[in-house]
Amino acid sequence: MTLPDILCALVWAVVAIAMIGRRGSAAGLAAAVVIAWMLPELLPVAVLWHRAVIAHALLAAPRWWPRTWTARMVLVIQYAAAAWIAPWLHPLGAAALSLLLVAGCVVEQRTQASRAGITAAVAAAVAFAAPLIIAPAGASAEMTSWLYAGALAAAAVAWAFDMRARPSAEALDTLIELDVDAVPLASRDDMRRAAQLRAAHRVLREEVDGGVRELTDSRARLADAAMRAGADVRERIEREVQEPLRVLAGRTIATTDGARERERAAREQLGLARQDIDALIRGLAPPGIDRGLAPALADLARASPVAVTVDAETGRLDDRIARAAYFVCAEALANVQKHSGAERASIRARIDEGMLEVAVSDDGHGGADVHTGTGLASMRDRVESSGGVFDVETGDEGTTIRAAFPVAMDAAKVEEASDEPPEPTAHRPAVTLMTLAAFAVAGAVAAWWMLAASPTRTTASLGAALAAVAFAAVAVASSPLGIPGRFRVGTAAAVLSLSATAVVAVSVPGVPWPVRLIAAATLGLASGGILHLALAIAASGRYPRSERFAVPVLATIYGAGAAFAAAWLSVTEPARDRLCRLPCAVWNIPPFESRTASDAFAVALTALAMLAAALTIAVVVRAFRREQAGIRAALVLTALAPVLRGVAGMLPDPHPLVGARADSLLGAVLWVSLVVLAATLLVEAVRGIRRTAVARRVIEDLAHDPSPGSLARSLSKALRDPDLRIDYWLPNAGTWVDGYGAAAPQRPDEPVAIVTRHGAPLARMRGEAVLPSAELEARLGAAARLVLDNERHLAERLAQREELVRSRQRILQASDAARRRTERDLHDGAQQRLLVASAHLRQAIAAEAPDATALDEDLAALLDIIERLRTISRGIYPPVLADAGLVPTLESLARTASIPLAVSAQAIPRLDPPLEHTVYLLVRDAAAFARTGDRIAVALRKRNEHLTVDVTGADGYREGAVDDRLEALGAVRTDLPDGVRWEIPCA
Amino acid sequence: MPLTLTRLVIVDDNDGFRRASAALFNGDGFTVVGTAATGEQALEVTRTENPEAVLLDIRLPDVSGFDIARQLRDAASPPQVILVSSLSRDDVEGRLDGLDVLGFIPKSALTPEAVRALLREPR
Repeated sequence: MTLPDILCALVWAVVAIAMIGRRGSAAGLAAAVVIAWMLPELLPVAVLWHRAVIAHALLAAPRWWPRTWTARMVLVIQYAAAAWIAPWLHPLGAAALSLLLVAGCVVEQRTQASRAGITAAVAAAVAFAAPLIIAPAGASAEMTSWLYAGALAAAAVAWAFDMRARPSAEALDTLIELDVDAVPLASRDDMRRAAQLRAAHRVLREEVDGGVRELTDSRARLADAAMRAGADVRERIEREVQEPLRVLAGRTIATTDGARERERAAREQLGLARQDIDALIRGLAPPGIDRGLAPALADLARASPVAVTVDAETGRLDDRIARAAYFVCAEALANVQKHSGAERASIRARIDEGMLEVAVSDDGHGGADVHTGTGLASMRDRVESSGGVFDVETGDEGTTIRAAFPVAMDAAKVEEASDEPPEPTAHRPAVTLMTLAAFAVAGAVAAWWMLAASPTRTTASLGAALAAVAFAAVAVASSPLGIPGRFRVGTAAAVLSLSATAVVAVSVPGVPWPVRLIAAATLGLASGGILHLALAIAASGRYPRSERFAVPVLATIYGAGAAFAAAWLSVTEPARDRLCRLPCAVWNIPPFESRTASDAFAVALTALAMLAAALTIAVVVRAFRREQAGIRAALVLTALAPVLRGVAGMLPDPHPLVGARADSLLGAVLWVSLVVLAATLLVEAVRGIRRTAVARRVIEDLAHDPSPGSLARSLSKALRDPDLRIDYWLPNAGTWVDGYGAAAPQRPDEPVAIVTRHGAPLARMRGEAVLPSAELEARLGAAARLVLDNERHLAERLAQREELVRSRQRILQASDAARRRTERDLHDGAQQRLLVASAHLRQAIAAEAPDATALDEDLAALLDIIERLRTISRGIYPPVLADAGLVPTLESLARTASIPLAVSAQAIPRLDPPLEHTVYLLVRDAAAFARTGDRIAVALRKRNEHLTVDVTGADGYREGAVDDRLEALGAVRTDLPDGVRWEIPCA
Repeated sequence: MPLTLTRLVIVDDNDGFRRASAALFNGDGFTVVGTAATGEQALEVTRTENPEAVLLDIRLPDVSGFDIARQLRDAASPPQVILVSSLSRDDVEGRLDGLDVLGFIPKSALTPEAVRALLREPR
């Protein structure tokens, strides 16, 4: 191995270490490159294997196997060439292979759009191709070797940058750090950001909640208006039509035979018309509901052709709720009659614990589905708009429809229990940890100074000095990281760094006795330090642990270690007199050979090291399974160190404090493993700092852009993973929705992790960077769940908002359809009968002439009733609107209006009936509320799927009941200088 | 009393109203030569019976009375068309523009006298 080879191997090794802990294959592939690079030392035939492995790393990472078929082909050819062909291949063939590699890499990388990746591919290709060009050109072997290894090292660096730019497991890590209580919010800026985030979220939440409340109210008003309109019409028809008809129908006046027959026919038609109207208005509003729900339900059951039993005890109810409950029962019975094929049905209504529960069951063939048809959906709308809940239970035998309404409280304002995250608490900078880290750094500097001054250097002193520096760096890097729990990696690293410094101090001759004594005591902390480190690494996983026992045990090991080490040094190197064993005399211990005392303390130290090793292994084994790869590597190394120390302690003639004989292989392995452990921890710490920075950016982003779905958006931006999605679970709807409340279907074979809260699904993360559910579950903090919960709440409310908007439209559609039907039924039925009656009466009058005064009076009365019914009928739904559309209706309105009303319309086609009706009502109300002297102008324009309605000059009219209808249709209002403009979406 | 009876066709989808109005008009200066319940029947009866006047309901089940009125105008010898409806005059008036019909009578005011008055009116 030449120097360039070693350097290149080192660069790849560093890249491999840096990739530890990242998801995917990067670390493994880099390690494979190192092994393949070293392999020819053992196996000369494997001389070209490293090329195939490097190609593999470039093409596949961060996966184990490339995604595209072209890349897979290139890879197979590279391996085949390395295995069989290359050693005997003509230089031109090798060049062709290199070109193939470059082409493959460029194609592969272009699909992933990474400039660093392409750079790595080009560097590798230059390395593979260059020797073929420059060696024949007369370059020296040494120069060729430098160029080759240098280009491959450059490829390693470029490749590492490429890997850094790829999405990684950091989505989850960032989410954990998003836990605003756990991120060390040391500075005032951080506190401000966190407060901003909370405030922004609260504002957004209130805004969305307010929108939902407004929609709920508006829907209730619409449903109410529909119901009230029905009741009004019923009342008016009863007073103005039915009552006078009753009088007219029951009379006989004519005297001549011919007239009498005509009159009888007329009166018969009047009776039939009354019956028609009766049947019709029963559907408009519950008859007799003023007497209570129970009697009204009994009437309903009697009128049904199916046998219905009623069991109702409700007492006095809020009018709105009684009407809604009646509506559900009437609709349900109508369904039973029309669709179920049932012979029997039952109605049950009871008040229980502040809820009115209504159930309608039948013994029919079932199969009711709330998603098909409008009947059940409009029942649910009606129930929910009264603050109730609706449920359909259906099977092969019978259907039960249930509705429950709150009767004890105000239904419209059921307050949502809010699950507000706790206020952030200030995190003080970890002063103790920083002081310790400063000591560690000072110690490491001192260790190197002592080493430089010392005439002899041993493996132990060199390794210890390296370890002191490495652990001091870990302590410094970890000190700003706020990992909850009592054990911190930074503290343990500082202790280990100081212990390593102490090793240098005791192994270098010529250090004054007091310093040696302090050094020995410090050195004795090493066993405890390792255990401490294991506990801290395990604690970062945040699962329950028995800290209660760990703290006293660790304290004991620290104390005993320091004491034994100091004692050993005292007996082997007494301060006062080499011959007098004074400490023994002072403590009145029977004198014994110094050698025995020294051995006893050495054995005690080794035993302590073994105990610490056993505990460390126990901690490591418990934590190992749940950890990420990087942490696992650190845990293994943490367990390895005390084992090595213990084994070394049992070897003949070891140095009791340092553990291994200075120049033994075991000692070297011990120190190398400690240095690698420190390096791993350093990488983890640096990664943690970067994560915190990302988290801070995300928090700031969220605070500045508090809108639905912002968590997923800013995470995706911060992690450079455009595919990252966060969906939320809506338990009531049983569906996943995105941050905006829209349905979020999962793509097949997409990595998904589920986050739960209180055992129920809360959120779902999708994307390349997502960890498996179990790992996510283990690592996600409570506060991070709250952040997600907040977003889920928003998503739920947004979904609810969507549903309310739809429900409002359905209510409008249903009530308008009912009005159109009623108008048509009145026109086709009762009105025609009355007109027929009037024709008969006219004939009777002709037959009775000239003595027909009484019949003339009746005819006049009948014509008056016909006119009234026509007026009422037009109020229910203008017939011209149904027949001819909006513009003729408005023109008709303009002719009859009491004030000047100008209508201008440009080629308005027939529109959706609710839309036509709503615009008609808008203009009608504007005219009805106009003040004397107003001149109203209405302009209609249809453009780009929008109908624009300008109503100007109606000073008396600003807002009205029709606004709810307009909003239900998605209309947007703009104020004009002398009126309003509504823009209504229409197909 | 006119010497000849005016030949009349009544178009209305309501059976009762058709019968009652036929009874009302027959003999009283008119002879009802045919009735129809739909627009299609109306065109057929008018073609075969060739009436002098047609009482045409506006709200028919298949087509609007306005459309039938337009088609009747194109007949070989177009009859006088009088639109009839249970709607009020205000609802209908605006839609009569450009239609070659004699006039409109609300059903509640439909009498032989009212029809005669319209037929007598100079056009």
